[in-house]
Amino acid sequence: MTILEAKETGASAPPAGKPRLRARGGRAAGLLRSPGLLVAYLWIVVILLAAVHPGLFATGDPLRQDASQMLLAPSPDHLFGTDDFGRDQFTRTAWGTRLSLQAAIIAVAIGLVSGSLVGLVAGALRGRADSVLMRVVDIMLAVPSLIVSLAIISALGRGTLNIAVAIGINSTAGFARLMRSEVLKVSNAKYVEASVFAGHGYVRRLFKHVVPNASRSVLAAATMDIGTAILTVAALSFLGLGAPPPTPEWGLLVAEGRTFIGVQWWLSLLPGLVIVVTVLAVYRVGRSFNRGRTHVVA
Amino acid sequence: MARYGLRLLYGVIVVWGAFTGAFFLLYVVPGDAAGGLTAGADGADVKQLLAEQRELLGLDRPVWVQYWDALTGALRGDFGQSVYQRRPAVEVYFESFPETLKLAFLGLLLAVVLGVTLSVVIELTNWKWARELLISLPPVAVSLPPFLVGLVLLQVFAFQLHWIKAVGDPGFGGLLIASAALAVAGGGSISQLLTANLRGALTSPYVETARNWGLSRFDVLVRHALKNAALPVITSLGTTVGVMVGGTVLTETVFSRLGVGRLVVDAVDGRDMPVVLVAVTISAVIFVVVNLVVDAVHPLLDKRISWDG
Repeated sequence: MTILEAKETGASAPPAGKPRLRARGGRAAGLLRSPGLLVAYLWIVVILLAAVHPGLFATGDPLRQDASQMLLAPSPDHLFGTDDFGRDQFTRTAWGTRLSLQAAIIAVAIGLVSGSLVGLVAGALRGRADSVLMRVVDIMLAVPSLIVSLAIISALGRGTLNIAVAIGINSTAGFARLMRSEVLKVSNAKYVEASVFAGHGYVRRLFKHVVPNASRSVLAAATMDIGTAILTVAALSFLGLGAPPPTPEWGLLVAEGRTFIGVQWWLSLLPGLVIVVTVLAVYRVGRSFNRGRTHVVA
Repeated sequence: MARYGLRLLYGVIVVWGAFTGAFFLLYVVPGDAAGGLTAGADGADVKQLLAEQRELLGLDRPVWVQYWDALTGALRGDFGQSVYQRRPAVEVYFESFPETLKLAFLGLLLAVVLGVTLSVVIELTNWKWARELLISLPPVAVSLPPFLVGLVLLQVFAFQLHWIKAVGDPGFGGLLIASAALAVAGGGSISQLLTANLRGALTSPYVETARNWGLSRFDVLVRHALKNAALPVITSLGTTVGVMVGGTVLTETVFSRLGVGRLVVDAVDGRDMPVVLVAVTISAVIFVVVNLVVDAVHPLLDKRISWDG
């Protein structure tokens, strides 16, 4: 959940000359040179398609039960097998994409917006406001996020969207810390100094130079955080705090299959594999955005 | 040393903040333990029953009085009675604490061993393809949900190999496998950070000097580069411990082990405020102590840092 900011290493910083040209040629060529990144992008497209239109991948009804088709092993008819109600597990996984992905994106959006605001206020005002806000952030980081999430979910009630809200509130502290350090860093940059000498006012300086430049790093970090959010949404759903059965949702599918882990292991592990591949793809793409910075996702 | 004293003060503030935050978060939540206790009752007397229970639990007093009582009690080590178990919450908590502590400690140890070993092996590997393969492991490890790793290990070790019992294995084997499930993600994140640092360290002049002395590759790596590359990793252990606390809940669920994780999930669910407050406070204390220890150890490892400077 947390984004730690590490020192920027001299070796990975872009060279001074013609930065723009390099970045452009670098991205397109880099995609061709690294097949892993290409595969990651393709997988994300597939997942987004499944979220928007699951019928593309599985034509059946994710809720349809069939007593004659219970607990079947994976086969061409049922790629992920069938569960104890005879429902097709692949169809359920495909239909579950929407809810899982939606929750992860909402969670990151909440954390990103609220965290950036807190970080911006702290970094821009400095002084006492800064130290008070950062102490609050320290406190938020000190309590295990799971306990905070549990308390928030018990306040809002169970449900996948409530999980998203809980995760979003939890990741606020990490984003606040990152945004603040970026604001401080950018404020000291030469071009911001130049803006001071050009006679630009404080507010203009803040919103024309500091905010856009500081946001770039924070947005790059947010792409990584989507991966983490997918994991956390799945974990909380796995604990039974998300949507109630029989709603198809990734974490819940793994939890439901858990009873049969001894024999019909595919019921849990194949939807689990989809989660893993998705998170891997998001992290891979996220890393390509974060080149030159080191963000550690813990 | 004065700066360390300030850190200590911050630590106290953090613990107090965590306690207060948890108290009010649970207070604003609609419904309380009295509702849970009277959940089975129905008919006209529910309201009266509810009021009686609330009075009994002291939930009818103003919030500030309740908060003050809870805070002063906590300072004396008295968090009140667990609502459901009718005995001190501290007692309830510390009953399951050793189980979770063992799990988290062994998990952390395994994570460090796995992470450091992997990073060193990556640096010592010459074959390009083997190296590429090893480098791809840590990112995979951090993408694995702990509950999924747990389920895979459970499938293999309990159902295929029959080495452990599937439900709450009491022996060391069960503990080891449960903590291995916990260690995968932590090990991956340690290894990611360490590999990046090692690469930086290996291009530094002092490593060049060590090489020119004629030291072996292993000596250069382990005795010189690793020592410096490890510093940020030690700093990050504070965060790793927090992640471990969350991970234990999932691991305990998968392996059906009775620990703090399950206790807290149930306590929040049933609004058993005293138990939740103990859990939050102890977690915050652990977090603060780990970070204080990290801060204290840092100058010992890196002579450039000092508390007086």
